[in-house]
Amino acid sequence: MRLTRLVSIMTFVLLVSLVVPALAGETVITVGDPRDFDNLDPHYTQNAHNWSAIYAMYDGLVRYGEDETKVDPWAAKSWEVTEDGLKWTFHLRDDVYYDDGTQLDASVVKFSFERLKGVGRGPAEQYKEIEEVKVVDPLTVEFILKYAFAPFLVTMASDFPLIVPPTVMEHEENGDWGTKWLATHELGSGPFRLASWERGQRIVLEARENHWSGGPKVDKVILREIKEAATLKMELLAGTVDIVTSGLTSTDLLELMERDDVEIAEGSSYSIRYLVFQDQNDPSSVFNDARVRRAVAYAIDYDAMIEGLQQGLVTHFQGLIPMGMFGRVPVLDDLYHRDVTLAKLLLEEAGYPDGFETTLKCWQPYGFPDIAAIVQSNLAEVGIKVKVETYAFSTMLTMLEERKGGFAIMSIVPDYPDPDDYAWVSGHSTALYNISNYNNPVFDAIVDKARQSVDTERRTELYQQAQWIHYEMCPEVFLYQRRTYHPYRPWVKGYYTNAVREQMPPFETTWVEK
Amino acid sequence: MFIYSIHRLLLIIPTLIGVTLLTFVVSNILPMDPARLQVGPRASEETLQRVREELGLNDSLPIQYGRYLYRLCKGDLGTSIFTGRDITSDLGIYFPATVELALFAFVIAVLFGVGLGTLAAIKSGQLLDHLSRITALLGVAVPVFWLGIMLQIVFFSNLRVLPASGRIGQLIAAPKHVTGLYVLDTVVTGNWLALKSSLLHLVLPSITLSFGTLALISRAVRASVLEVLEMEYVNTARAKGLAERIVIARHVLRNALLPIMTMSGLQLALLMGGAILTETVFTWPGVGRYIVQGCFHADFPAIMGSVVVIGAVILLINFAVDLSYMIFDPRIKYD
Repeated sequence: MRLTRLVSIMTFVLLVSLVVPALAGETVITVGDPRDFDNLDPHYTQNAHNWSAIYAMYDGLVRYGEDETKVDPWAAKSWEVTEDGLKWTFHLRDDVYYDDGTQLDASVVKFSFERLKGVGRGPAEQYKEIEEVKVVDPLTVEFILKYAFAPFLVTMASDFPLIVPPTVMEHEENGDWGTKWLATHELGSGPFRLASWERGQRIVLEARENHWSGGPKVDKVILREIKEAATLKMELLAGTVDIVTSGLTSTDLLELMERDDVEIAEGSSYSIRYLVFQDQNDPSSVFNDARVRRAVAYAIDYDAMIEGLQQGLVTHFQGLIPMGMFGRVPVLDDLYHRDVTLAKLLLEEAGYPDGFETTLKCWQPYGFPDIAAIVQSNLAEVGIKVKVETYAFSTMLTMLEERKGGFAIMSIVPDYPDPDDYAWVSGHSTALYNISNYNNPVFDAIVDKARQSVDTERRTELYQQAQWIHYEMCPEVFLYQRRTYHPYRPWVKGYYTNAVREQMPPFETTWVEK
Repeated sequence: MFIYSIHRLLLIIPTLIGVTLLTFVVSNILPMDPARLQVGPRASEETLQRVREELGLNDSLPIQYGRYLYRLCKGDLGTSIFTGRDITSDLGIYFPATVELALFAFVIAVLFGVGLGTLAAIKSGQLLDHLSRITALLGVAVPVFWLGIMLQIVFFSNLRVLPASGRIGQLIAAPKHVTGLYVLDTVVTGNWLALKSSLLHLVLPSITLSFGTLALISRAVRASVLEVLEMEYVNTARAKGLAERIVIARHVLRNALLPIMTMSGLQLALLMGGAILTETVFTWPGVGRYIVQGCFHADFPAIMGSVVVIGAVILLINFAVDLSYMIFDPRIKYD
């Protein structure tokens, strides 16, 4: 009897709940992505997925926009740089405020950069060229650099230097600059504020309607974590998710492209997959000889990789600097192609007529073992017998960063959209991210000059020189450049993606028409 | 009984210390550098060393372990190396999600497992028995991720009657955190809309998670009930003229269930340990996913914190199962 009564009460409760109105009248965009959010402090996290929420909640001095070749004014309405490239002056808007009424002025900018340096994690590493941040007047701030650094402006538009106000110090614990608190809270002045974060499930952003830009065109953005590709696709087609920003398989994407009820925002990506030879400076390694590295480059079946494995959703690419950036040498794209005869000839010249045995290492996620299988099969045809070893992501990353990876598959995603992030950061012998251990004083001198010049034409010439050297020495073998595909439903308007906003979708300009 | 309980509870402490030691050793022999992973590949050696120092990674392993135990005694599971968040607070969110899902799955598995097993025994050799055998076989053989996706296709994509993922509807605010179990929290706070939504979100993941356990329980119950049905006291009960329903409920099941309890307890413990595949398919923010994320980023404190909490819960469940024998079988005494 008691059980029957309980069931009756529960049924009544459920029926009552059916007539309780849901949140009505709000415009909401729901975004699905399999990745986890883990930290919302722009000065602490390097996890690119966190940026999709952080970039919407904070203002920076400048911002990436629809045109991926330039940065747009944001909290700074204008700026200038001295001829020697050592002093950058930013003029701030006078209408940027935090929720507590604090104005985003020059002193806030100065504090924010002190905090970035004080937190001292990965994001701070990108601003080592800054000698001093000076408050000229409440709406003018100067950055004095230790040395001229051409990409300075584009680095200012990334997620890392977003402006955190001094009120964060109210939450400081043991000298942590409030990082523990800000990891799960928000103190921005951006177009959206953090409404809630149910960890492992979703982040809800609500419009900061009094934002100086006039505020976003939707009331809420729900960033859902949906782990499984099949579920993501189902939710998109059911309309419970409006945009998918990553996580679908190539097959799913191709299928969605055929549908009339799904649109695809397609854009370039600066992400590249490539093969590294970390032991190329070791005289006892077979990869010490550039001819062997070039033989590998000629042995790869790029078409099988691009059209077969990636189903045509990526782009053939050679030449160090990704497509979409200035300073490229397009003809390089055609120079390394599959030529088994030439590969065998190079191996013979290098003293390996019968090939050799080697090990190719890669991490388990992101389909790297499939890439390894193709490389293994291609190299077998020229006599190089490859043993493939796969590792957990963090183990492999540690190995690569400690330069113990040997012959390995690697991926690069830029921190800022400038050729310097590829030519200098990945190729200079003193650069920390020179995963390939490339060491060439001539190349070093060229990319040093290029990063210090403020003349784009001069930089273009220098990068082109650097790429020809890189082509000759072949310290890495580039497999392909990725493209970005964000499927969305037709009622979503104003949405786009490109190489600079790939990880930071433009929620501030997107709206819904249902 | 009281002394036995105290003795058993005290034994949990060295077992837990063993768990922490094992996890600590395994974590530290892996060739991963948490500091490097935290600061990123572009960080200078100087930054790397400073962060290593801050994280205490430059100290010897015994000192690091001792410091961990000291903090643990104070109820502090530490700070995640990767996310910089407090692990105790993280687990306060992730662990209840696992408990909620595990309990629902367990209830489904026990109710249907016992029912199916009993029917199969009573109808031994008949159609129902064969169907039960096939169900059990499927329960063991069908991969969880496949079953989960199939249920999503049918009930979410096609019929549109149940949600595919998450713990609550996307336009519904999560209930105020009281216990972390959404169903309980929505009842406590009187949030009926959220209660309905959280119950609906539990259906598919708990059915998926329960299927394997249901299969095991149903087979064990069948075997046990068949054995008891042969007993003299069952014949006596029938001879007394008791209705078959009463014979089964009072005399057969009560005696048959004792051997099932140990197995069910262990199954509940396993479910509590995190059902990674189910949690992934249904984007259920449970402790299994938290551990996987920790492994992905070499986040040793997060992994160790989770293992300690899961270990403690498993030990407590086993303890509870042992004590419950006395309730179901008064002949058992712990002295």
